Amino acid sequence: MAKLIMTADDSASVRQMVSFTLKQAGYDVVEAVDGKDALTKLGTQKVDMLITDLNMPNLDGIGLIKGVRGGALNKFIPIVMLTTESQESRKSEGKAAGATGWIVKPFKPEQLIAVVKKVLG
Amino acid sequence: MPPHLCNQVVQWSSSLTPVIQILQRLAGSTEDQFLELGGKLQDFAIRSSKISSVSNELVELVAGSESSQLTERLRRLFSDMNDYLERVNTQGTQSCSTLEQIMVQLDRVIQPLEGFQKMDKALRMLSISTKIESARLGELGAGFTTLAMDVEKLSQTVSEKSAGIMIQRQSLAQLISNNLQMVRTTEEHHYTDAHKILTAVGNNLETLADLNTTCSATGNQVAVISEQIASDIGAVVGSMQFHDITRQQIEHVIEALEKLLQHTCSNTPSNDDACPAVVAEIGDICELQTAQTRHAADQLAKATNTILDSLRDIGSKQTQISLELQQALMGNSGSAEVSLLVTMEKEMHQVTLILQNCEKADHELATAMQRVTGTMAEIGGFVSDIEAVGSEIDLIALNAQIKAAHTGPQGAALGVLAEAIKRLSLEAVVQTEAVSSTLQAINGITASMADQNFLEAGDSSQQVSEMEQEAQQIISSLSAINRSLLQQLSILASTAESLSEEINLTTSNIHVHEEIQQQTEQAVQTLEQIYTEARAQVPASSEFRDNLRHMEQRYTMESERMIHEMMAARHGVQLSLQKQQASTSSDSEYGDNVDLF
Repeated sequence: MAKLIMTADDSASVRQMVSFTLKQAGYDVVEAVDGKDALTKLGTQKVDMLITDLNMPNLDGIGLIKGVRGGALNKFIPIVMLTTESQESRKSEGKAAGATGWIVKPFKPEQLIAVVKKVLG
Repeated sequence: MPPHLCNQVVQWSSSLTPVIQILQRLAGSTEDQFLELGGKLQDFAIRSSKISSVSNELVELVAGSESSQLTERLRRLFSDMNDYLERVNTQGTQSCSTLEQIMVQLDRVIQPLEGFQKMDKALRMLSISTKIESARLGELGAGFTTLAMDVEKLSQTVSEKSAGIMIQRQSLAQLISNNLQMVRTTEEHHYTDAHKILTAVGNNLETLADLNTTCSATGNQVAVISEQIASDIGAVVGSMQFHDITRQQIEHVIEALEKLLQHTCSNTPSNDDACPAVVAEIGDICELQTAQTRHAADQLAKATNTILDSLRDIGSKQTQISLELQQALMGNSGSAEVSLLVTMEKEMHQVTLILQNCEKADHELATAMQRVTGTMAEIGGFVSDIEAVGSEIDLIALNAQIKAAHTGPQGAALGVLAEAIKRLSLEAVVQTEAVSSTLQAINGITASMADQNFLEAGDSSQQVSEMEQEAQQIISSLSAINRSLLQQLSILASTAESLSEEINLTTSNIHVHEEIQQQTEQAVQTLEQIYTEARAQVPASSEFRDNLRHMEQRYTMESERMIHEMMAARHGVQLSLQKQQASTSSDSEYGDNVDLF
């Protein structure tokens, strides 16, 4: 059975590209339009991994990670930030919140798939 | 500070508002176009993947294991057919030679048989002479009357048997002549045709092997092109993200301009002393944001051009795959009727027909040779009878000599007749031996034919039947492959064509980058005008240079920092933050934009 990955990003075109890349590689994908939407969905749906943007309305990526790590259903899933931001301070913040990895946009499809394979074991 | 400077600040501020509006429109208006393009990309990727998949199936169909096995079977069958035809041809040549030898022998029988006819005449004459002499002797020659009747009976037997042999000889000669003609006709037509077709099949087999090689090479080419297409799709996916990146950059520019606008509105015109500082700030911010805006627009234009180029490349590469495979499989004509497999299928049908004819001719020859041996057996019977006649003549001659001796001087004439009968008996022996030895020679020849399996058509028939069966199976497999081939080629051609057309249509309708460039240029020109005028009033200060060092840290994006550094360098400020960033960022195995914690 294919692994289920959530992509959370307020940009529909980025979600589209992430979904396309993951589906091409055989994964199932669920989308969330911002951090709040993602956290709501993750409260009831078990996923295998979360790929999230940093800057999003309603709830940002750091808040989302904290929410997921503080929840129950998806507490231990790998979470990779996918953002345009590349400052070390932000990466450290993400790492402290519980992020598994950090990818600066734009990503290459093979890069994203390699990271997904790595973190999903 | 002169009041006109403050007035200019107001004027510049009012010019900033439409710039911000343009940039706001830019930041929010292109999402749908990119989403639509993303949807198309997914469709193109699926169709492209189908083309690659069909291409691989085609390559597997022609150069795969099933095809290789079929080619191997064809090779074996081709070899078997060649062997069979070679053997049949050799047998045909040997048959001709044998039949010609029999004909020669049959010609040799004519002379002794004519001798029998002369003997018959002589016997009849002797019978008459004996009857006359017997009558002349009266009572004394009474015993010779029986002798004359025996001689007459003998002459009839000789006549009948030699005539029988002659008829059989003629029948045999006719049979052999017909068979010779049949064998030569078979040799001339069927074997020659079969050899021609088998040569063509042999050549086609080589072409098929070449085709397998070409297809394997094309398969490798397809794999390479598929990788290039995957790379193109990757480039599109990467470039599509620049919509979001550019949007954020524009939003950052808007944010900076809005702050500037807010600041200038709060400082002018109420505070004239603050005007020069505000002018300097306007110059600083507008110069920086001009560079950032221009870079963002250029970046998006470049990304869009990459998308267009990559999509066009996908279309042309898939067309290339389709054309290369069609070229490899169908040759230059591109017509289904002349495809190699169709040609081979036809040739296999022809060869099968020829084999059937050869087998039929072989069977007819075997039947004819059986008739030859049958006829030879009948002639053998006649020869035995004639040999018996020879012995009987000898006895009659001896009897006649004894009787003539008993008759005394009056029977001297009968003694002469007895001598003549004796000579005839000797001649009969000679003629009989001549006929007998010739017929034995023919028997020897036909026996050697039997040894060479000329008379056993059964094995040959079974072999032809097996080859026919194998040919039918191969034809059936060839037809199945050919049907699949044509079907897949048709799918490939239509899919590649429609994909290429749709990609061309899609790419020709993409103008988003031109629209963005146009609108950005409008905003950039206004910003340039503002900072040029502002710099003319208040040049960039050392404070600005100091600010450049601090401002870099505010940027969230690498590219924004890079533009900022270029700006700083233009003002003589060397920033080293980027280098520091680069040295601290982990250059992981996944790329320098990836960190796994």
